[in-house]
Amino acid sequence: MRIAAIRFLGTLAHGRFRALLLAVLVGGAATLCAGEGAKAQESDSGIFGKEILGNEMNPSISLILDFTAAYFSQQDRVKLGGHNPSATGMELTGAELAASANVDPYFRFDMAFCFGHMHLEEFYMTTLALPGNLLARAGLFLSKAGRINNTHPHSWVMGLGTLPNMYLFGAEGLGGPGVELSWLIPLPWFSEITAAIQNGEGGSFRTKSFSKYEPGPDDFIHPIRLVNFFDLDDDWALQVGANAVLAPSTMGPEVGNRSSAYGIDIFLKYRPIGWGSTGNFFVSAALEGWFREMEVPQDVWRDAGGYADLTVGISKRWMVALRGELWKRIEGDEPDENNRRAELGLDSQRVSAALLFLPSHFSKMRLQYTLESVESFNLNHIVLMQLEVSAGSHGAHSY
Amino acid sequence: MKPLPGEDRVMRAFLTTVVLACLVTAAGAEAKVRVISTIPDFASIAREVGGDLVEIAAMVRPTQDPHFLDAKPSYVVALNKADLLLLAGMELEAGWLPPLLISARNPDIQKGSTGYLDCSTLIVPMETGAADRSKGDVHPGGNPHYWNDPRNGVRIAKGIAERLSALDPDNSETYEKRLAAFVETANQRIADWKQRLEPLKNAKVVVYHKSWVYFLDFAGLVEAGALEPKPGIPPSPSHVAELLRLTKESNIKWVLQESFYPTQLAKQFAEKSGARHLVMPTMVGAAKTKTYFDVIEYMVSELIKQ
Repeated sequence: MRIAAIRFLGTLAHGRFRALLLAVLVGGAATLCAGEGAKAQESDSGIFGKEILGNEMNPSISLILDFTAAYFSQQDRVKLGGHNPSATGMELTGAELAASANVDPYFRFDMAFCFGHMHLEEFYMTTLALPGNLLARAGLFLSKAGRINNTHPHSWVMGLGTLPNMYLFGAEGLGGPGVELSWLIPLPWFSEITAAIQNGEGGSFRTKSFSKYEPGPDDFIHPIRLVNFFDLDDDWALQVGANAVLAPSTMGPEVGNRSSAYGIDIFLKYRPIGWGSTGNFFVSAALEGWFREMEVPQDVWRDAGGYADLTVGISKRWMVALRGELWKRIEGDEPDENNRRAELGLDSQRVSAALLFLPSHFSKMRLQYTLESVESFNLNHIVLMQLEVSAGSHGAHSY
Repeated sequence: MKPLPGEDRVMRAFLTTVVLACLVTAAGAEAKVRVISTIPDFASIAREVGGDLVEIAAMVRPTQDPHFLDAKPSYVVALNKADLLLLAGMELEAGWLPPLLISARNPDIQKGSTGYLDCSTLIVPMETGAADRSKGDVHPGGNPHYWNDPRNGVRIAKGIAERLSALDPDNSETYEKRLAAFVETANQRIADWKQRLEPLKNAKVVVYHKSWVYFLDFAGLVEAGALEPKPGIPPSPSHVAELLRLTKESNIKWVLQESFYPTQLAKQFAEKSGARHLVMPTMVGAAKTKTYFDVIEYMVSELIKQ
């Protein structure tokens, strides 16, 4: 009986029923929580005293500025795009207005608008009261794919996005309008699975134009992420993630070309917090690797790559970081001017070293050197000096 | 539009998992009220008031700076199961708690719910007023380090007891009795501490971070300066030298700091000013303290030592 039920559910998950099932789950659960399922209750705040309130009903608003002075030794080099500096000189690599607020007991909203590129980066609602350990987001958001894709540059340790992320997800990152559902798996440790269905494009993935075609479930971008976190003890923590992105290929979605990417990420952090430890010293290591398969006109490209970070917090105000990046073509077309290999994946290696000074929790200065070796281009030396500041009430970042 | 190999299996596995999750019946209510606190001191007070009727955990370790926790996902698991969240508020936990609360998926402990108790609403805040970041890492609602004044401990205990009674009305009589016992003990201890601290009245102290205002107010001591030039800004040798100059005639008795701040400049100041340098626990569990009263006792005992 149980096997039959699982087979039935698996059948339901196939083909055109996928998106419909996801939408019904989210919609139904949201309806539940807005009615009897919601347990949010009003507090008797008059009995317990008055909160010191500011403009409590207004969203938390913050402005973030990233200013970069960059030097590239090569004019002819792989184009970085997104929030990366574009040329030798000075530029605003980030100018963000962020806002967030609880809407009511059931939803909150978060927004990030990028002044530098004059576009809305993210604007989505998150549920607060779904039953069954579920949480949904809907709107415009960056996809949860790997550790970096859904983060904003001002939260990065390094001043450049990684080349593997650019080849996989595009310089702006993979995202778009859509719906996402995540489940906190009832285990003794943190274990969360997330899946989304999104419209949009980024790097290897693109939904086709729906003005001419009626979309089916396979025509959308499906990022899926499973993450587990373990407190090894008070000082050590380990996070392991598994990722998949399944979508139409950015090259030829109209003719049914597909892209898929599978990745693993590992994050290990040591931060002693015993008596006499300031908590300012820490060492963290991150490793993220991906395999991508992408259908292109008359061929299939297979590539793999990733990055590894080592970050050391020396004191409250000083950090150093090292990064190595690698991308390797395994199978498929050789690069030429008629295909998009330069944008979507050349044999590449990069090493970076950065020194960060944090005058306070709200400002950051970075000096970074990067050595970049990309096939078809000469060795490129990159030097960055960056200043990041955040004013206002900005939401805390996730781990 | 044939999917690539493996795509279908991955998507089917995920959706099957989600549907099964929705069909799983919620666990039945357990007898104990599950309380999670940010600061271990609130947890200790809740343990006194709740006794065997509550299950308590604290997220901040007693030797950890409560401003700067890593928002570790493991806290989400505890928040997800909690019936009552105790926090200091006044944006002390603003750097790490909000994303955890969202990920907790627990409507019972969201802001505004009966299961969300901002303990700063139970006390009279000090150092309120307009806040601007040019003044350092200041908190708009007031100084959030209020739990080290045992008089506030009594107020917090009353608030916790009322909230436990609201969540678990069948046992409200027990919570009232335990609260009464806690308050009686607290009042006796407060009277004892006041008596022992009386000879030190108006003595001057220098602090590392401005986290001692409430305790000093209770103890009758005077804060003559802070090693941090502004809250959250690490001290520099030049600022310490200037502070030494300014406090030369003030007869500074102690330099007070928590264990999670660096000690080098504090020690230098103490040596040059003739003060005693005290690294003290400010949260239950540090320096082998086991209860809320143990922490205050530790601080008082260290101060009155010759």
